[in-house]
Amino acid sequence: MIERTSGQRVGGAVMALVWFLMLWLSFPGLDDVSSKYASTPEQRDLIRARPLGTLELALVDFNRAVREPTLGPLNALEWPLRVKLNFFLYPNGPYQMDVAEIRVDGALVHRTNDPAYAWKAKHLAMRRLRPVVHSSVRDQSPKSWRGWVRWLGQCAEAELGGSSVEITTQRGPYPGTDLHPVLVYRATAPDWTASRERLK
Amino acid sequence: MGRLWDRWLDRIYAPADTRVLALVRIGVALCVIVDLLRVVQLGLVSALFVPYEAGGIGGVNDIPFVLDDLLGPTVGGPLAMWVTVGCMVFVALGVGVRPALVVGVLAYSQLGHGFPPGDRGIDRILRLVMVFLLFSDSHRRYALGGGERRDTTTAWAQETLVWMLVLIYLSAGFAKVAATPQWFSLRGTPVLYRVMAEPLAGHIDAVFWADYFPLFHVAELIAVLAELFAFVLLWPRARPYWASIGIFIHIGIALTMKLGMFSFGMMALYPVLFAPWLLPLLDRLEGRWAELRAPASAATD
Repeated sequence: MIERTSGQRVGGAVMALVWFLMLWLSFPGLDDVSSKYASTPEQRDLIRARPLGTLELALVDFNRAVREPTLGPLNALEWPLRVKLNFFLYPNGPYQMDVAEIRVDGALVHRTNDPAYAWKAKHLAMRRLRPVVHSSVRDQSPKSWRGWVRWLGQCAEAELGGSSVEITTQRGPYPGTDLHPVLVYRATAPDWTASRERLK
Repeated sequence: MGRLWDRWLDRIYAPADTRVLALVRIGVALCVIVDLLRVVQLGLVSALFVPYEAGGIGGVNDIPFVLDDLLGPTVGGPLAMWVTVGCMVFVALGVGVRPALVVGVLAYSQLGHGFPPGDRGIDRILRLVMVFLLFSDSHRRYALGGGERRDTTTAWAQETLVWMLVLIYLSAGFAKVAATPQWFSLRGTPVLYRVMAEPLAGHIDAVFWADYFPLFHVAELIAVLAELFAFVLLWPRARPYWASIGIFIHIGIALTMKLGMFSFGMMALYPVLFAPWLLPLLDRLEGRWAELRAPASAATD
């Protein structure tokens, strides 16, 4: 057996703590449990009746009583560098498909994934902008839609000489041959202040 | 308990080839450089890294976006981007790696604070990797910095990256299973089809591929089982075999979805999984390189 120095033993303890913290913060299976999950007696009875339901309930209770209260201070450590250890990446596809159509002065210039109308397609698909497009088109509490519509308007003015821009979002079941309009975003020159209207 | 502790120490202090971490360092830095230069190429720097009030897109930023307060809203974000690119160039070249990692991670995180919607899971993962690399010997090989060369190091950083990959894939697997049992079903509309055919995130034609559901059912079963069995990565011998499946998953994602550097960022970490197969290959390549250089050196002598 290799004799370890005291420095190595301290290093080993530090690394063990790091590994434990990584597990604790990202805990696979518990990191995305909603606060409403298994919160009523009826829900708990349903879960208990499932295979391994008792174990699932025990884990959910442990998460709520022991792990969650510690996350606030630990997340504060992660926050400055934005290294939050939540890894429940892309768990599920949407059950409805959404597309956007962009019209500049009434003329169709962009349709999601349509090469025939591909104005700004590369920009809108860019991974850093796509989340804004995604939340605005799918109406998932978008926070940056005003800036997005204004930016599209400014691009339309600069590149196409446009004075108005209208973005209509459409939704329907897969494979997307039967879509209906859901939202319309509008903006006009010169200030490109955006508005949003929900369509019936 | 004592035996477990000894085994733990043996694991993290085992000798490891430094080239593995050096390849991760170069791969991660290149991913960030290419990703940010793509922003420049598309002319999106001001749109993405300047807040809405100053003419950009982002309607919300985090309190720790300090560069905005220090330098002004039109300067802070773009400057953070260029500082990140510059630091990553140094990291990739192996020049002043540790200072470049410190400044680079801080600037990169400021980009995330300035425009949170554009700061995705892969950005968080790569920043964390950079924090581990900061304390490692990744700069001791394949570096132009002229520092001391070390062929072997201790395995703690490599093992910690593997541990991170285990947690990432297990979390992704459990999240899929919790979201819907449909991932295991061989009937109905495959979840993977919905993911890949989603117009806003995928490239594939939903109408054309609707006739090939069995293909998606098999692929999604392989993907979710691979993720749920990611704990096998804790056994070093299993790593390259598991990674052979993992790399196909990431190549598939890269080809079919609009996730930018996600797949490439994840694959940049794969040298830690492919090490047993990669190192003999590197030995051969370096041997060939030395043979090629030998006649040239002899001629100059």
